[in-house]
Amino acid sequence: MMKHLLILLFAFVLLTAFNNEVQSLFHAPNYFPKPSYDFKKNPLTKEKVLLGRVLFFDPLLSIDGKVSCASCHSPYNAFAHTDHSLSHGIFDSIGNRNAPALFNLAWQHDFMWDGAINHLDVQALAPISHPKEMGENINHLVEKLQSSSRYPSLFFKAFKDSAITGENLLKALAQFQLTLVSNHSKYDEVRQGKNSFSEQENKGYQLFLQNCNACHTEPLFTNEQFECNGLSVDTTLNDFGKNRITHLSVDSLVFKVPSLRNLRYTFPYMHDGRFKKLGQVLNHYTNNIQPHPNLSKELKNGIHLSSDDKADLIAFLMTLNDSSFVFNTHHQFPKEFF
Amino acid sequence: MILQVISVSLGAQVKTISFLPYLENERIIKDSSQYAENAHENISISTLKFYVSKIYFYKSGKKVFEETNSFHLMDWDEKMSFHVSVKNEFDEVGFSIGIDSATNVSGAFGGDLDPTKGMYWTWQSGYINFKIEGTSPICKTRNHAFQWHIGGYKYPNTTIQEIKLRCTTKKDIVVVVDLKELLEQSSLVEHPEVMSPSKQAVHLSSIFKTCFSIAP
Repeated sequence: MMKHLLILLFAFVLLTAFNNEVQSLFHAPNYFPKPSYDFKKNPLTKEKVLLGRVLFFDPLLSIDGKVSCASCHSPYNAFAHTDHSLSHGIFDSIGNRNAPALFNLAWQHDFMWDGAINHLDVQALAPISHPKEMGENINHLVEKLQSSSRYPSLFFKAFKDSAITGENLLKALAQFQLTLVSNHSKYDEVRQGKNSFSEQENKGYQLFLQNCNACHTEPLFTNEQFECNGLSVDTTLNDFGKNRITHLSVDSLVFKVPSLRNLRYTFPYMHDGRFKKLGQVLNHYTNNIQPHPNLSKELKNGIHLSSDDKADLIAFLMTLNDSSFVFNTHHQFPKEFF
Repeated sequence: MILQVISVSLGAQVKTISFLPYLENERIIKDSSQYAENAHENISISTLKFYVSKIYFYKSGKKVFEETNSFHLMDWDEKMSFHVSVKNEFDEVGFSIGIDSATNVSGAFGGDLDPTKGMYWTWQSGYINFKIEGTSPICKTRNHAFQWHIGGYKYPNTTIQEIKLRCTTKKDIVVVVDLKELLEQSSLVEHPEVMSPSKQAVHLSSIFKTCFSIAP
């Protein structure tokens, strides 16, 4: 009997220790929905997250050894590429799209502006292999990591195996990215009763709920869907969004709805980074929506905002900035490894 | 060896399932020119890789055994056979050519499913189910090359194909893969490059059924 109790107690301690570890790496407030990511298939551990973080900041992942994931996804910009409308890659290549911010990825089920990628684990394959981004291939990358002085021991610590595989490389990168949770904005403090909106922010919040929340749904500020938002086609890019993947006319000019959290750090905006200022974004929605058969039904009647409304709305949007996320040292360059 | 001892003690037997590439009733040899009628004249194949998954065995039309975690990459350069431990008598074997949609949307996997195996697309998610590359004088491409990376898991571009073949418990299972029907003239001329989920990929995958048979 005593023996059984001891075993139970031991199991309980183990389980609690495990849960605490996961919780310290990944925590979401109770008003967040259930994550889409299945953590059971890739349970977070300190060692795997750390390995993923070292990989994320390592330019060894690119063919010329100069571009890392962080080159276009900087922690100080909420993991976007501020000031660059289109992504930059190896040999000074310019890509076709604006590098999106990375946070709250555990709630995303389709990745990239066109939804080309269906799971966070396999997302990294796209930039690693893209000739205008990192220009590598996964086999060559695994060889480079295997023959480096840094990685076999880090993989051993993380996966109990120093033989590096594509699967483990991708899962470690996914683990680090899963820990990029942004939920300490003023908005979050208000939700938790620890702070309150100013009068202007509150007016902006009401305008947001009436005009924006259908697609940029709180608390993640995206509905994780794809919509046509009435932007004119940039004829130097001819980017038709999701249509590139599905070849369906209903997906022409349809792009992923991005989150509105951390807008202060993630300019320029839109899939091609055409707007530098939030004011320009709001002017697009009030004045410049182009008619299109695929136009989001939420935009069919236009959005009507006075200039005072726009100022109030921007005041609310600024409550979605999360400086503690942007300056979180656990997400930054792990200099002790370089 | 240890595995074999265990399976024998359970009354199971280890069956080898192997795949032999043929063209017009002739065994084909990697990278060598192959004579055959019409389109197949001087065709040469440099790459042949495909997934065999979801293997199950039937006896008198009833499913008697299903392999768990059943994913095998057949690769001309590596291996074209694998072992399955079966407990029951059977008279039919079933398998799929390709990877099911649930696996396609469930992230990164290891072993034969590892993305380093060259059977996973990078610019969009999804496995390549069947890859064949080579040259044919009728291809109007650089070096007369053709490349067919046949995949796609989402309707209407689904390319996984189920195959069911009569066989016997008494022998190992030797499957002939005759590429004659697949390498049809019109496809080689009109679509020498198929490298994404598409109508043409679906068309090519629909021919798989005619390619697989049990060796006499």
